[in-house]
Amino acid sequence: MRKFLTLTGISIQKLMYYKTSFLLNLITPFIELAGQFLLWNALYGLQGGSPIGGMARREMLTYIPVAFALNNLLSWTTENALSREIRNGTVVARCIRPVSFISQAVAEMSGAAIVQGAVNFSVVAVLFAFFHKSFVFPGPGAAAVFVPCMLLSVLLRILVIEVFSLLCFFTTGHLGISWTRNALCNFFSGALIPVSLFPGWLAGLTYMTPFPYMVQIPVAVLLGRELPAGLFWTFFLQIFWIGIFLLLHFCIFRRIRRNMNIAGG
Amino acid sequence: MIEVKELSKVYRVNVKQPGLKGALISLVRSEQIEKTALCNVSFHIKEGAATACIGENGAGKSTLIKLLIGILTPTQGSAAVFGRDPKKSGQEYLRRIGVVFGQKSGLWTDIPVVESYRAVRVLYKVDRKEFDRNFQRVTELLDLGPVLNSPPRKLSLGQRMKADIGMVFLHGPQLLYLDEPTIGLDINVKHTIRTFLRHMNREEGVGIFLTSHDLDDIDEICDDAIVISKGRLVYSGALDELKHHYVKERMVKVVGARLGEIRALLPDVRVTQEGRTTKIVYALEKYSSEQILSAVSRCFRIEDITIQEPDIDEVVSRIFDGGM
Repeated sequence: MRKFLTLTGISIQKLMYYKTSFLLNLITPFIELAGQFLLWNALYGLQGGSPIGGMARREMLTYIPVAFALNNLLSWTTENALSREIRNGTVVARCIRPVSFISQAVAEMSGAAIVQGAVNFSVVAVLFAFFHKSFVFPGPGAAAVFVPCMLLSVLLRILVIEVFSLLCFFTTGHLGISWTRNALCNFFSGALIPVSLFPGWLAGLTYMTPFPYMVQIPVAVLLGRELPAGLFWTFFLQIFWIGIFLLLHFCIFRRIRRNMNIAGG
Repeated sequence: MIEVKELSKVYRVNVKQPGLKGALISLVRSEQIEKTALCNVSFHIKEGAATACIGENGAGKSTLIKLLIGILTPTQGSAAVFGRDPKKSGQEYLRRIGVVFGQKSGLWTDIPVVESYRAVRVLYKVDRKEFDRNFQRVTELLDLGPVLNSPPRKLSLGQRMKADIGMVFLHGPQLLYLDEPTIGLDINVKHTIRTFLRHMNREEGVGIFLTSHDLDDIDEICDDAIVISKGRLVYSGALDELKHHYVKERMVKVVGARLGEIRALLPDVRVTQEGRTTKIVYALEKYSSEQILSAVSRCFRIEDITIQEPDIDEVVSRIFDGGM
């Protein structure tokens, strides 16, 4: 655990060392949040305030910042750090540390997620405090269930990023892999549009993937909305997907070690 | 300490045909070829030895190091370090070794060097007293004081390399792998690093396995050598023996007035003059050192005389030009 915490601390230090970059990374996502607010406000305005896809205006206005906070825990730079290291060969430094490869990746991304998460949820708290009439306040029970659900969603996201990054060992086009992962995560996680607004068949299909367990499901838990499976099965499926990605990590990593070709000799 | 038996490593690499047609074909059909990086390499390195791994670009030196570290899996054969397969020894093995890749830093580039150093204590589970002692020693010997509070990204190449080398000694490794540690460095930094590595090897007993294209590194740090060419081992043994095996000529430099014509006594030597220094090159199979010294003492009023030791540059050039 000390090793994990040390690596997490290093990740936080790395983020904060270059102040301008750190602040820009923290603040610029909120421009996107403001845009989403304006868009959905306009859409509800056009509907005369009636629900869209079964979601009332207040529910949607609550959904947007919480989903945003969950979806923006890691910057583009952090998400792609491992892919870049693989492409330029500096990944070898990770391979020679007496800490497992996956622990290093999880610790590093956890550090970044802690900092960004603190900022994101502070902003959500401020929004709730100032515009409380526009939001749905979660009850203490929902908030208590939300916390472990959110932690599992963060771990799942980190593992998804790590596994996709490992694919960069097999191709030189790491940006293509990053964009694919980004598109899949943003769309199917419910970060852009709640999955409940998808056509029935697509929503059904989406719930069979790991992506909604990163954003849609935790927010639904917080809002007290009906879940596609019961609470027990929701947690079970989150843990199941975490297990699947851990398994994928070990399978891919084993294959990589058999035919690893580190860039630059 | 290192026992390598018939070690081979074959990579599968994608090949694309040239041109637009090739690019289109590769979209639907990828062709793979096998590239042999190492082929049936066997050697033994004793504990505490400083061994150079010599070879041309692409000879398989870096692959060999990565196999010995346990990052790569051999296609065939086996390697044992400290009596165990490095691939299976895991973190315990990684705590006993240090690794420096000249072109890839092991430091975290965006935080001060000292923070990377502190992390080593936890990651390698180093006792605080031992860590403090090692920290003080590397800081002094490598003159790292001025760079400790800067992130490696802001350091010069030489400073960064010294910081990298310093870091691998903090956990007290028994064996050090160095892959071109002085590449691109100026003469002063090279000297500091060589002196430090020699000290750690001779005084502290740290084993060294070094690859370098800088033959002065090899000459100053190592006693033994293995030579790899096109993935095959062509020599394994003492560095001196390697030199003597391949060097067919030797040079004597004499400073002093010439009293007679040396060619009259030694007709097959080559003589060149540079100021007051006369350089006499002779074939080892034709003349012995005694014959040369005897002739020189008769033909010169000697003020200074040096017999040039065989140069490793010459050895390497002979190996790769003429094969073994």
